[in-house]
Amino acid sequence: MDKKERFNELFDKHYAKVFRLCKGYFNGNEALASDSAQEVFIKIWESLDSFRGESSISTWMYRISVNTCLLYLRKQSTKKEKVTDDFPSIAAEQYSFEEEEKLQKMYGCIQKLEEKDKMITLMMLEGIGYQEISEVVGITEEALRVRIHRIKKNLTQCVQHGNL
Amino acid sequence: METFDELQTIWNKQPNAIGRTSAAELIRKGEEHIKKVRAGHWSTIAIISVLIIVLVGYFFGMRAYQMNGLTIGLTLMIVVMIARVVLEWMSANRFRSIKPDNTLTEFSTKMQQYYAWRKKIHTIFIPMIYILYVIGFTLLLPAFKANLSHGMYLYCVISGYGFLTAFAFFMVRILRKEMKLLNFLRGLN
Repeated sequence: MDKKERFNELFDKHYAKVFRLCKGYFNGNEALASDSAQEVFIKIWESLDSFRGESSISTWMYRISVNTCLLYLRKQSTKKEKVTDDFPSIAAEQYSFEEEEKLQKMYGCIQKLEEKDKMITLMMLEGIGYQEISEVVGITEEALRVRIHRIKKNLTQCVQHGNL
Repeated sequence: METFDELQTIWNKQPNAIGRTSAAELIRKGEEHIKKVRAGHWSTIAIISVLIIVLVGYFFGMRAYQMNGLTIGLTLMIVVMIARVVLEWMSANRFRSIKPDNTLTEFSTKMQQYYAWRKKIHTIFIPMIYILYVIGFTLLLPAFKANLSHGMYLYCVISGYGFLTAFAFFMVRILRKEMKLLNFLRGLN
């Protein structure tokens, strides 16, 4: 498989997840999520030749996604205020009013987490496996499980009562 | 009482990404970026080479016994300019060596080390370079006064020091921005 085919496959399979990961990190801001997801895939294209198969390609790709999102805003600090002020407007038909409110609360609660926990939460919500998350973050699976247990508890509590 | 599974269900119901881009478009952007980085790399080398050639040529042209305020001032300015460009080039290389496919923990540690190094550059080397540049410029002024009209001399003094003042503010702004980033990275680990 040549580089272009490999890239196309990665794009088709993972773009939506990367976009949602970035969207969650940027408090639901779709414009920023789109820009940062594009940056992620540009980096993937540039680095694809150097991928040595030391981890699975999806782990490698999520590492790039997480690290890119982490610094994306900090390098463009002027956008920071805009993002934190922008609350996601989720006008999806599939949501009841109550569900939409909860989703907005979820975004808000995720923003209150520490940076690493924020990334872990978003990967967990995207259904990425624990082993893969631990390889992306660089902590042991045991440590990750403990962390996730605490995050789940705090996040649920935050959505219900509004504080972590 | 809500469970996390219920939250997960709500999360999963979100619509998928809007198709604002395509793989082909990103490949094109990626290729453009690679070309831009390469061009930047070569233009930096070209600038350094030209500056060094000018400096060496200048030394041979002027000869040592002709050393005066103008020669020393110009030499000082050229040398610190080269030092500045070399430092930026080293920074860019060091930044590029931090691969984005490290684990989050490794990546943030390496980034932290990079910005700690940048802090040293901003707080030790750049002020030294700046002071030497100001001294170099000041040494040129008697030659300007002797050879230029009064109006032109005033223009050189005002625009020169004006530029140096604006440059100092600009450097402080960059320092503040990078220190904010460094503090953020320190908070991660």
